[in-house]
Order: sequence, then structure tokens, then C-alpha cells
Amino acid sequence: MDKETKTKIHLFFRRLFKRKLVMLAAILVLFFILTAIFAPLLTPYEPNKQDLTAILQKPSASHWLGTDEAGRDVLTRIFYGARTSLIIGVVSVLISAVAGVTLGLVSAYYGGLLNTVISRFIDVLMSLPSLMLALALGLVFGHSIGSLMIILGISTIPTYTRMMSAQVLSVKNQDYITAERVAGARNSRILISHILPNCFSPILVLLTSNIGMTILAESSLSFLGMGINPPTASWGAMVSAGCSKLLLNPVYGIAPGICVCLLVYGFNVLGDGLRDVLDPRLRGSL
Amino acid sequence: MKKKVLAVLMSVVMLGTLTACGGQKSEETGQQKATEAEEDSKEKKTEAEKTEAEKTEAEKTEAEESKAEGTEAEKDTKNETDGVSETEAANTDKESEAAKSDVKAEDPAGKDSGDSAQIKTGGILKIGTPAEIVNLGYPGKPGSSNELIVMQPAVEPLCRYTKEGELDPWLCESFEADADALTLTVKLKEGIKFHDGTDFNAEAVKWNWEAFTAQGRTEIGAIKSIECPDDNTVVAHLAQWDNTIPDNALWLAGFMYSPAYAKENGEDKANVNPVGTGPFKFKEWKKDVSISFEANKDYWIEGQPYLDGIEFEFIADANTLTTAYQAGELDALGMIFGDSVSIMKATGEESKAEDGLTGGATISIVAFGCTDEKSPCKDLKVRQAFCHAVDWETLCQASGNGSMYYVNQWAVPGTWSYNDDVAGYPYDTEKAKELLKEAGYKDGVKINCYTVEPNTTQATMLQQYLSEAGIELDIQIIDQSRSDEMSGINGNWDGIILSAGRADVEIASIYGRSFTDEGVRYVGGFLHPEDLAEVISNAKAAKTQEDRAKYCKEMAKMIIDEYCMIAPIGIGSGVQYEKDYVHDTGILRKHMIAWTPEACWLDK
Amino acid sequence: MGRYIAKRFGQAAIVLLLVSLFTYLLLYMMPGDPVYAMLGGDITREQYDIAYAKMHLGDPLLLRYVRWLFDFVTGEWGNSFKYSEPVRQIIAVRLPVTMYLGVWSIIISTLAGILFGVICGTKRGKAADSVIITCANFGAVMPAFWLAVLGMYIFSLKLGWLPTHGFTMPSEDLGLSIQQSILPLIALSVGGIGGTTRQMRSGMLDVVRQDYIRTARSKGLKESQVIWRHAFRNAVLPVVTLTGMSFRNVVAGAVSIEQVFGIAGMGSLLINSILSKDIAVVQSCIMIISIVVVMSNLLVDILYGILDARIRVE
Repeated sequence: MDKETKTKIHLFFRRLFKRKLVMLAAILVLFFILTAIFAPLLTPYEPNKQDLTAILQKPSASHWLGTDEAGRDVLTRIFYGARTSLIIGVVSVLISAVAGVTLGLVSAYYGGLLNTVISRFIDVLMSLPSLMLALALGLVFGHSIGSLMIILGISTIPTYTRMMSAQVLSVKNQDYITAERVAGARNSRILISHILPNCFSPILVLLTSNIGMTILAESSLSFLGMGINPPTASWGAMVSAGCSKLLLNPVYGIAPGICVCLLVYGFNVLGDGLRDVLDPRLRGSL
Repeated sequence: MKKKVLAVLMSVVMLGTLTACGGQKSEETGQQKATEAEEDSKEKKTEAEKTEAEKTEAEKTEAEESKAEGTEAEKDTKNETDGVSETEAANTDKESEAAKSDVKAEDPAGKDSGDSAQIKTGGILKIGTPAEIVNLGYPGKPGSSNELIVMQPAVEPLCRYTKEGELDPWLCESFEADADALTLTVKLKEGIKFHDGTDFNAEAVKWNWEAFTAQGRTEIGAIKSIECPDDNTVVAHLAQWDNTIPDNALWLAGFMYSPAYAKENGEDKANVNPVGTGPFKFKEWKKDVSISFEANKDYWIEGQPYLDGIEFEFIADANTLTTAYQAGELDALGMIFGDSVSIMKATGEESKAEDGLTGGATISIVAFGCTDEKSPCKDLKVRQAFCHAVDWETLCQASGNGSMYYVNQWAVPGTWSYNDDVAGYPYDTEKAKELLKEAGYKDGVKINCYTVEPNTTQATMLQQYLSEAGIELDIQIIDQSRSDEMSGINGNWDGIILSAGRADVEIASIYGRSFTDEGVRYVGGFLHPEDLAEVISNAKAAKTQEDRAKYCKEMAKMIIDEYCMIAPIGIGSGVQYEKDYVHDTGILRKHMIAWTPEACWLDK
Repeated sequence: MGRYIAKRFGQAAIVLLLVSLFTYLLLYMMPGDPVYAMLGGDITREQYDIAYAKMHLGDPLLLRYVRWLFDFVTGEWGNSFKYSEPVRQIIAVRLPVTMYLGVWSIIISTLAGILFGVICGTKRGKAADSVIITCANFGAVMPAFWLAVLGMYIFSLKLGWLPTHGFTMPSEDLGLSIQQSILPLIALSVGGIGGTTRQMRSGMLDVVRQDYIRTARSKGLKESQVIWRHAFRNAVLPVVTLTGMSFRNVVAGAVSIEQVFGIAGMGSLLINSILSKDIAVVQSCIMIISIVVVMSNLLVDILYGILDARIRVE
């Protein structure tokens, strides 16, 4: 069993990284994760340490990417911002995935009234523009890192629910599930041990690319002045603050933006790669 | 008081001559009044230079008309020739009167510049601004200074201000406030009509004042009754003496709206259709895009306005706003703050605003929540520690982008209400720590800081300083209406609010609005000590200027040194960017709010 | 089909009602008093009370909701606190602006996306595929406002080719309208092009492996026929869904783009109204958006029916 799993994993990664692009994306994501973890070792500066005598300086030997409006080192804040962005991205996607998947699973499997109620709720969420929803929720819950995760999570719930119900409906009446049911298995058991694993790959794909979307959404919120509370460094806040200071220190506006692009790009391509490998219909054809 | 009346008399004389001189002359006087600030340096040019310029004027005119080498020649002519406008051939026969304008231009507002430009008519002045406008005209509704600025092309006040912060009669001939008789008597100019064709008269002033108070505003609450002895005289009878009445009644409540139009169309419609006596008629308001005005052909100063129209363009984004200006899509930038200012500074543009303006300024403050049970700031020692922990002067410079200067009290430096003896709280981290310890916070304290998004930088800078003294500032970015709610009459807050307030020369009524039981702003979080309330009411009721100044200075010291209810950050000095071909807008030249739309012209 | 559509309409009505209730509650929960949003913070108690009474803020929540609903169904959609105007008038000015830009951006991104996607799908692994998909991936991830700001910086300020801000309807001034629309449309569409290309490409890849394509090939059909008649038709289905879903964001307007280019569309209206607690405006905007979303979903379903014979038979 152990050996089998090992070869399976080995095979999985070999397939995944067969395409150079996916390899590159994985390296990108890994790079940013490492940056986030080892941020304190990479820079002599503190992310929130201000120097009011050196505001918005252009790149120099001591500040490679210059300084921001409070005299903080931009590069340092990019390192630490990677932390915030990754944490926000991953956690809020997990929140929305757990909520969305549960709703979708339950509603599609049981059907009936429960399905109607959940479907209508999802319809409501879906017909609200996601950024507006996040903005309004932000006003209600505040802009601490925790509430921001929940807020960004809520707006992406419908995607998971929709996808889950579609998956469940396609699996629900297949022979092996029917067989389980006939054999007297409990519903929760069927849901967790049979249906869920079956839907694992599309969820993983969606998760990966949604992390990117969430990081983007965070930057849009920041641009509208509804981002994370200061002084926490986040890429979104940096892009939006830097954008209005293009003439003063252009690097400050451009560098965090490029980081956002690269990280989100990495997650998206990785998501694509996973999809190619995990999607049963394509398996073996790569 | 005497000085004021004298000033008024002088301006009356001046205005009299002005009217007698007819259109062209009044243009020039207005012109000079507006330009003198701008051309301060140039006014020292010798007479010799001037005559020389006059000699060459004919050639220059030709050059200008050919438009080949346009701007340079134009600039020279503008600065050095004396008062002849060749754009309007018909006016040249009045040239003999040009001399008069020199004489009478020694008006109370300042010295005569001796120069006048060759005014060109036509064109539309486009002013870009991030300001948000909700109310436009109906008496008492416009609350923000931005709204007052935007409505001025159409709605004019009874008085404007001189550079020294004195009332400068505009729609009125003169006014007289009598502390003993408890009256304010205003003589109005004759022959002025509102845009809808109805007369501007005493009844109109009465209606405007009443409508102002009917909005629930208390600035002219001391007025008990209003009487109109004749068409051009209004007498306001006061319940008790209040020396803030002239400023409030003639300026804040002095913007004259057409009663007929308001009565016919109702408050809501009137509020978005400014119908006044101004040089421009309201044309169109594209919400969140632009407000445009077109020239009023029947304006009461003949020959003015020079422009065909004025248009305010509303652009919220700092980058877009400044880029649009640099790309030449806008002629001027006004009412800007924060990022826009730093961008403009970075591009090397010079603000055209006068330094050291005193009237209508805004002050950035930290307002301590002194009453909430959960607020650590209810302890005086904590508030003082807070003040000692911050290097306010550096903070002000770093966060203000040069558009803000430091003050240690809630008053404007250089005015009679400013108190040089306020001790303030020098930057001293050790002292701050000590005070915190005395207050019982040995291991530091956490204070909530509420602020709106544009102040984020300021808040983070504050946070840094405070952390060194053991105060953890928890910044909560809130939206404007939430901030207004906290600082409003029903509000309270459990920490500090980083916000702004009005700071005018006449400071007593502003204090009254914050530190007394009848107050409206920050009133929930501030203490209302009785001794302070007494000083404030003394300041308002003072009949002599000395008393008034004395009490004002006393209260400025009390709220800082004794009660420490606010920590001032700085006074916004205001910035105004205009292209070189824009002349005589008067924006931020004498007063932070009052300007001269009728005198603007474009040299394009 | 008729019964199906009728059922969908019934569902839609319920969803709309729920949406309005949900928004109302959300707005109610939001901190911040509309009176201050209208008059600023420096007001007296009398001013406050007058405005409070005028805005009917003292009435019970449910009564206010029902009143708004009545207004919305019968006519003027209520009055805006902030703009002192009937909400319908305000939206009548804003919606066309947003729709104009939004529809163009959808057309551009869908057509370009499908084209690029098909190229990628048919030229799998070749240089063209790699180049396009890399660009598409980056396009899909660029923050739109960032692109907009950089675009304006380069094309308006440095090169001076295009105006920085504003919006004009083509009926008013065609030349100016085109000039003003170029940058916003690019900023709006780049993300869409990227997304659609990715979707289309993977759709094509999916389909190409399917049995019926193999069958078609083995029948001796030409490759182009196989691609266009079979692969394309099936691969385009998810793109239709994607486009349908992006419609809600079209009506909602791309707030940040509107902000950058100073365009007064639905996005900025909605944001400003949320911030100033202008309940009637927010409610009506959300309703309009929801109606468009529901209608576009319906449209997508019908399109699906046309494109996918299997569903039609069912």
C-alpha cells in the first residue's frame, strides 16, 4: 500500500511537472511562499519601521526598491506583504470552499426543500456583484485580517456550491453509490467517503485558481479604500497606494503589482496543470 | 469695532466711485483687487518701467493679435501696462478714467498694485476637483467649504473677506453692528436682480436668514427678529450680544438665494439649482461628473463676467486628476488634498495659493474621547502622554506634503485669536512613558484610532511614534459617514478620532460648537468643563476687541494645557494650481473659501 | 420549453425579492447614519432632527422596506438622499454608460478569447500556444485598475495620445467617444480576454479527446470541419456560461476602472451610495443588476438549448 501510494504520488508529480510551464509556476509559488516564511531573514529592515526623513525615495543601494509614503522600505514590505497576501488568499479560499462544498454536497444529495432553500440563497449571492458584496460586508465587519478573510470568502461560495451540486448530481445515481445505499450505508458516510473524494480533483483545481482571484480581489478592495487596516503590509494596499505615487517612486507602484501578477499567475497555471493531470478524461493523454 | 466700521465706510466710498465709473472701470478695480495678491512682487516695479511698457504696448498688442509668439508678449503686457483692454475696442474711450482706478483702488483690502492686465473675454474655465458636492445653494444646506466654493459663481454672499480676515461688503453697501442697541444693520446695494428676474432686496435677505435658521442651524441663532425699514435696509435684532453675528450673518448665512425660486420649486429642487445674483447662471449638474455655469448677461457689474462659463469637473482619483491637469484637459485644480498635492509637488508645479491665509482654514486634529468608559483617554495623564509621545512638527510636515503647517493650538497663527503662550507638549518619549506609568499603565496601553481612508498615512505615522512610548494604536479605517456619526451630536468614541475641524479667525463660535453642552461636533467625546464654557461665552459676548481676544486666547490655552482634549496636527494652508493663462480667479488669494468668479479671465 | 421558462420566471421573481430583502438588511446592519452622510458631521440637533424626519428614518424597518418596494414597483424607485432626485432618473443616466462600455468589453473579450482559445487548442504545445497562453494567463491576473493607471500614465501623460478621463456617448461626439473609450475598454477587456482564452483552450482540449471527435475524424471529415462543427460547438458552451456570469459584473460596472477614468457609471454610483448609506439608490441598483443577471442566466440557458441539442431534447 505504502509503496503504491509512493509511486502514485511520484507519478502524479511527474505528470504535473512534465510541462515546463507548470514547473515554472510551481517554482514561482514556492518562491513566494519561501519569501513569506523567511521574510525576516531576507531584509535588515522592519516592515513597519518608519523613517519620516526618507519619504518616497527612489531606489538606492540601501533601499533597493525605494521607500513608501512613511519612509518604509518597499522591498521589505513586499516580503512581508507576501505573507499577508498568501494567508488571506489561502484561508479565505478554504473558508469559502468548506462552506460552499458543504452546501453543494448537502443540497444536491438530499434535494427537496433543503435544495430549494440553499439554491435560492446561492442565487441571491450570485446576483450580487462580488466586489460590492465584499465592500458592504467590510463596512459591517471591519477590516481586520480575520474579517477580510471571511468577507472575501463569502463572495466566492457560490462557485463551489454550483460545482459541487453538478458533481454530486452526476455521481449520485451511478451504480456504486446506489449499491452502497442498498447495502444500507448511512448518508453521511456515502457523502464523505464516496462522493467527496470523487469531486476532489475539480475542487483542488478551483481552489488553486481561486487563491489568485482572492489576492486580486483584495487589491481591488484596497484600491477602493476598503482594504486591510494599517500598518499591515499587503500587496493590495501597496499596489493601490503606489499607483497614486507613480511620479514620485514609480517602482513603488509597479513592483507590488508585478508580484501580484506573478503569484496569481503561478496559482492559475498550477491550477491548470492540476486540472490536466487530475481530470480523469485527460488522464494518460498528456 | 471702530476699525471695522471705518473699513466698511472706506469700501463704501470705493464702491460708490466704482459704480459711478461704469463698467470698464469696475472691471479694472475688481481686477486689481484680485490680482494684487498674485502680483505682489511685481508691484514694486518702477513707474519708469511702466511707462516704457505703455509705449511699447501698441506693438505688443499687434504681436498678441497675430498670436504668433503669443504667450510671452502677453505676459509682459499683462504685468506692466496700465489698465487698457484692447480686446474691447469700445472701452478705449473710457481710458481717461483709468487714472481714477489707481486712486480709488487704495481700498481697505490692500495697496494698489498699479498694474492691470489686458483682459480677454470668453472661454470656459475648467476646474478639476476631487470634492464631493451634495448641496448647492439653498440657504443653510451647503455645509462644507467645498460646497461654498462651488456655488459661488451663482450665489453671492453679502460680504466677502479681505486678506486680513475682515468682512468686505459685496452685495451690501455697508453694515453696522451695534453691541449696545443689539442690532445688525445692513444697507444693500441697489438694482441687483436674481437670475430668475426677481429683485434682490431687504425682504430677500430676511427670507434667506430665516430659511438658514429653519434648516436647524444655530450660527445666527442670536437673531431674534428681522425688520425691513425700506427696500434696501435690513435690521436684525439680537436677543443678546454675540460678536460672531456679523461674520455668520453676512458670510455663512449671507449667501443670497432667490426666495421666489425657492418658494416655487421647493427645497429639494432649489438645493440642486442654485439661483442667486452671481456672475454665472447655473447650467447643468451631471452628478459626480461636472457642474457647469454659464455667463449671466445681466450681472450687476457691467462688463463682467469675462468668461463664457465655469465648469467644475469632479475626478475622485488623484492620479487621473493630476494627469488630466498636466495633459492640459483642465485649467485649474482646486480643493485638492493628499496624494494629488504630493504628485503636483513632485512634478515641480507651484501652488498659486497665497501663504498665510487666515480665513476659513481647516485644522487636522486628534480628538480624544474623554468621556467613554472604555476609552483610556478619559484619563488626562494618558492624553498628555499621547501628546508628549509624538513629534508633531515632523509628523505634520511628513504627512502634509507641504500643504499643512504645524500649530500647537486650535487657532490660526498670526491672528488676534492666536495665543503665543500655549505651552503645548514637547516631544519627549520618556516623559510620555512616565505619565503612562502614573496613570497606571505600566505595560503600555492600547488605544483605538478611528479615521477615514485619506488619513491612513497620518495614522500609521502616529502609530509608529506612539509605539515607542508604549501606546499601541489600533487603527480602524471607517467611512466618512461613520466618522461623522461618531463625532456628531449623538456620537461618542472610545479612543481617538483623527479628523479635521474648522479653524477661523473668529474662533469662539467654533469652540462653542465642540466644548459646550450646546455643541454639535465632537461633543459626545469632549468634556464640557464649566470654566471653559464660561470663557467661551465671555468671548462671544465681549463688546471690545481686547476682551474678545483675551477670552479667545484663554480658551485656546485651556483646551490644550489644562484639559488636553485635542492634539492639533496642523492647519491646511490650501493649494491651488492654475495654468499660466488663467487670471484672477481669486481662489485662495485672500480667503480659503471666498473667490472672485466674476473677475476670472483666460489668456488663451 | 414554455413550462420550463415559466418555472424559471417564477424562481427569478422569488430570487429578486430575496435579493432586495437581503440588501436591505445588509444596509441596515451597516454602521453610519445617512443623515450625516447627507449633511456632514458639523450639524446641530435641530438640523439632524429635520433631516431624520424627512428621510423617514424613524419608521420601522419593515415599513420602510415595503415603502421602497412599492416605490420600485410603481414608479420613481424612491428618492435619493444624496442627490435629491428620483432614483430612476439617476440610474437612467448611469446605466447606459455602464452598459455601453460593458457590452463592448464583453464582445471584445469573448470574440478575442474564443479566437485565441481555438488557436491554442488546435496548436497544442506549439510556439503560438505557449505565447498566447502565457499572455492570456498574465492578462487574466493583472489588477484592472493597475493596468488602467499604467495605461493612462503612458498613453495620456507621456505620449499624449488619448484623453485621461471622461465619457461621451457616441451619439454626442463619435470621435471623442472613441478616444475616451479606448483605454477603459482595454483595461476592462484584458482580464476577460485572458479568462476566455484559458477557458476556451481547455474546453477545446477536453473536446478534442472525446470519442465523438475521434468518430468524426475516422469518418474522414476534414480537420477544420471537425474543429468548427464539432469541437468548437461543444467547447464554446462553458464560455457562454462564463460570459453569462460576467454579465453581472458588467452591470455592476467595473468600479475601479470607472474611478480611474472618472466615468460616472453604475459602479461608482453603487459604491458612493453604499458609502453614503443612500439606501434607495443602492437597493434600486442592486435590483437592476439582479434583474439583468437573472435575465442573462435565462438567456444563457436558452443559448445552451440551441447549442447543445441534448438539453433541447430533454
